[in-house]
Amino acid sequence: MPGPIQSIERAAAILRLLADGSRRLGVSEIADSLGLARGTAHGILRTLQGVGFVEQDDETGKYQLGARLLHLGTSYLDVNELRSRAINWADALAARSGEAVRLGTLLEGRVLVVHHVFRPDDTLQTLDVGALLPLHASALGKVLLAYDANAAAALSQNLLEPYTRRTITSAMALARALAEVRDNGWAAEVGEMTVGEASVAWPIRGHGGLVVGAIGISGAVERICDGKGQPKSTLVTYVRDAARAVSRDLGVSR
Amino acid sequence: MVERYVMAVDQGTSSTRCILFDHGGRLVAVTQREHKQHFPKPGWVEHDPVEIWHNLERIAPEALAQAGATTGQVVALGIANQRETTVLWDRHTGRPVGRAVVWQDTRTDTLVDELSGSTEEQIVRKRCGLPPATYFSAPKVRWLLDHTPGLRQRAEHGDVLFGTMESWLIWNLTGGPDGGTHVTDVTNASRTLLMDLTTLNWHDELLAIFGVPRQMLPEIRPSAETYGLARRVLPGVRISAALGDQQAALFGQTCFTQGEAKCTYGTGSFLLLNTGHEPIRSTHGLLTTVGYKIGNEPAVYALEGSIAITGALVQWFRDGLGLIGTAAEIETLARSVDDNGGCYIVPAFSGLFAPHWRNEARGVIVGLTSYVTKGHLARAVLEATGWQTREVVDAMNADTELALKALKVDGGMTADNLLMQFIADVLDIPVMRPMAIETVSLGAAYAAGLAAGYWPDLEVLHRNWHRAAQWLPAMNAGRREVEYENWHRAVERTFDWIKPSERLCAVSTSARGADRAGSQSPLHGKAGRRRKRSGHRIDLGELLAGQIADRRHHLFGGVPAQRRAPRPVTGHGEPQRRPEGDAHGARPGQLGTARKGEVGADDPGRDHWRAGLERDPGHPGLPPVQPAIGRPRALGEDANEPPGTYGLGRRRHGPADRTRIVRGHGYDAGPGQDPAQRRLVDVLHLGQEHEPTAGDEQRKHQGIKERDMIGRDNGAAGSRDVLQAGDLGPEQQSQRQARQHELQEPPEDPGAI
Repeated sequence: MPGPIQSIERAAAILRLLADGSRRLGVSEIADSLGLARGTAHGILRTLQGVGFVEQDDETGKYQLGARLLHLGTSYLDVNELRSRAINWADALAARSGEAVRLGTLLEGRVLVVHHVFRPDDTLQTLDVGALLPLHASALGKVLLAYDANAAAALSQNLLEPYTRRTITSAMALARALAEVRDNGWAAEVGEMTVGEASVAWPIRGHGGLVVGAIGISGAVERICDGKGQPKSTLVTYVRDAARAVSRDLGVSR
Repeated sequence: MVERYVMAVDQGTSSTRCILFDHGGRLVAVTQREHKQHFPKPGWVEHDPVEIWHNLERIAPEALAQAGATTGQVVALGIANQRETTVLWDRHTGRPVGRAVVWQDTRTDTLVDELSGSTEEQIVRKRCGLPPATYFSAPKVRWLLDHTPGLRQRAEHGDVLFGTMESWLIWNLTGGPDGGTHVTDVTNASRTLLMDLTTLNWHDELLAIFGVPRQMLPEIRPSAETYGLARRVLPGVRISAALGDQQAALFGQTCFTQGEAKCTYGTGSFLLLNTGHEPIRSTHGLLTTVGYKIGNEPAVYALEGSIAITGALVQWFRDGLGLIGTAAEIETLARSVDDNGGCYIVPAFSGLFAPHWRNEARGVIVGLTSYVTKGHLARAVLEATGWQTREVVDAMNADTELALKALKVDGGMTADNLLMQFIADVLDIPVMRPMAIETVSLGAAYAAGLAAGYWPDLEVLHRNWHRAAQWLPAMNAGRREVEYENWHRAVERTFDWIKPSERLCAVSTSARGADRAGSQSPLHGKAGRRRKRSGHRIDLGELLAGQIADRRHHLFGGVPAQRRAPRPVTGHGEPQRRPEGDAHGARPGQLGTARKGEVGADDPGRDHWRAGLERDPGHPGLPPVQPAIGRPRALGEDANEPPGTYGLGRRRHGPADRTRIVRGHGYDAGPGQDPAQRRLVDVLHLGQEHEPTAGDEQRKHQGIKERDMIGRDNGAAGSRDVLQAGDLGPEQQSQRQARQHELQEPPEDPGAI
């Protein structure tokens, strides 16, 4: 097992220093206080600034604790922000796959639909942004559960409500399914929420790989799946590409 | 088979984007780079053309890399660009003559002022379909020529070239000083004030007015046509389209049929309506512009409703107030409350654009109480965009006599579901977002791909359009009316904030001018029906004579009366829905005849007494807008009526009016009204210029037209005024006044019928 990582220790020290002080600190002050080279301190501060734990004053160039640190417990990416970052890629995914696209995040044991793109056939469809989907019976939900141990633990204690005969209703089966999701990197659901419907989803990752949401397509089983009842690999690839594009956008812009 | 793509470059006001689209019109890669905004002096806005060129040099290969594609896979390149922004550069070195002067830049205001009221201005309006304004390119070119030593001489020698951003980029892409192609497209050229709107060529008279040497101008080409092959950045790639960004969005939304419209929500918002092969001149504060021209096909024209501040208000909320961290968070904050809490924000940050065109207006937040939280403010911010859209849609409906049945939207703000729902609610029509919100880029790509044969025809592009989302109106009609009325009252409170010194001028002659100006009304009927006006047709010269009257109208009547006063309700308190098949999109009680009665906004005589009020320093201000009432009232019924207040208007209307126009109150002239009476009123208002026509339907149109003519919320006249207001010194005023007098025709007796 490797020893403690020095730069993380130093970062923690910088945060303590900033948290103690009643005023902003400059790079030199911080470097002097901790006995670090100025360049080293600067590098750590820039990284902390990048993840929002530290903020730099525009005029003086001095540092203070970042607002995001105060909201560590709450969702760090606003769902409306997530939608506006994803909208281009969600559109392209819908156009390419020919299926409806949804983006979801976790909300109190359910999937909150934060974005919905109609299936591009110009039929009458209703926008269901704001709707809640079951975590264990949707592809979006399985992705969100697979990468959030707390949510998964909370859910397995409850009764898993059956929506169809195919819905996963045992905690054990769900755990197996989630492990498979982590292995594959994506989730599918075939007739588990609605008979005759299937969906595929991939995770959207923010800074440092944190899963902030899921994006997926859904539609009739015969369109989503191949003859063996497995999701068509082309569709899975389309969803993956969209998820990666959104993740890339979220990563580079902060 | 190797996939092939079309590349679009969207050279916008704040950034340059490069997007690759595949054959299905689907986005494959996006790259973007912002450029610096230079504000060297108040009112000046500049961009560095070299920086923008370098940005393109970077993002184009990046986009290819993102898609894993090579230059060889790019079938064609199309450019959409911020419009009007002016670049001058040296033909031999390729170096710009200073920075680009951006469309928002107002340094040319005195230049434009000097034009006002002159015969030259009439020529500009007539040839270009636009009012001379700092917004457009020609004054910017003139300013640069006047203020850069030796530049005019170099330009006359053909050493200096002019272009908007697409010209600059195409010239550089095709080789720059080494044989670069110097071209522009009709849509961009239509925003310069140098192109004749009907011939689509530079016009000598216009060049003379602005003192622009022809040698420096690019060749005007169709929007979709191969201009040349790129020799730099994307060697060998065919450059085959250029459009102004808003026109590109119209194209990207595949609004190829007359009557189709789109609204793009960005920093500002722009509603463009395809008006077919003939330019329509607005009487409601809209601009006439070229929509697009494909190869040798005839040009398609558009009416444009420009809203200056929509997304910029959200940015201000974020950056100026710091109440949100990102623009999208406004929706989160707004959803934390159920309504606006009685609070309204009118973002007249630099005046109001369409349909008001009031540059002396400044923003307000009204209705503040202790109850109001930042959540309510966030609601009010979003609602401002909704109501401004409603105003422009109303103007569009009135100008075209067609009610918009659905609104196609695009742009970044369409990610805001709360806003989109609100827009559907206040317009009372479905709002649809296509499967590509990057319609500016998509439009440029479509045009380029069309010219390159990548797509065979418009029909194929049209089939690519798919609805990605739709919001249906869900607001209770009564609430909509009440809220809209509140919005109007809020808008009124922005007026007259910047005090222009010329307010007191030329009033006594102006009413007549206003009267005359009204007859310029080339309305466009649904079946291509163009109504001929009997009597003499008054053209732009006379329109001009009405300008100061317009100015006065803008001070008080900038909002069309029917939108300023609350909607009349016909007795039974339930507000009314638009009847099916009402070709005007007007609600009952909104028809021209009834509108006329309200608040006297259409009554030229009003200007007289308004002037009286203004001249009296002791007067506390304008009387509040009176609510319209649901029944006719007799003259003098209101005991508080100040003597003589509406005297002139009353005399003018004559006895037949008496029951209808009382103290500026309107009442419903719904379907139940006696047609004969309605016609009589029409005649009274139109005076001798009106030839009564037979048939109810026609009279209904007449009602609208009449309002158009007499209402001074006239874009053609109004927008010019706006862009000048507040900038005239006393000396200029008197000059302008003198010019007005010169142009004034012998007065007619306004009472003659």
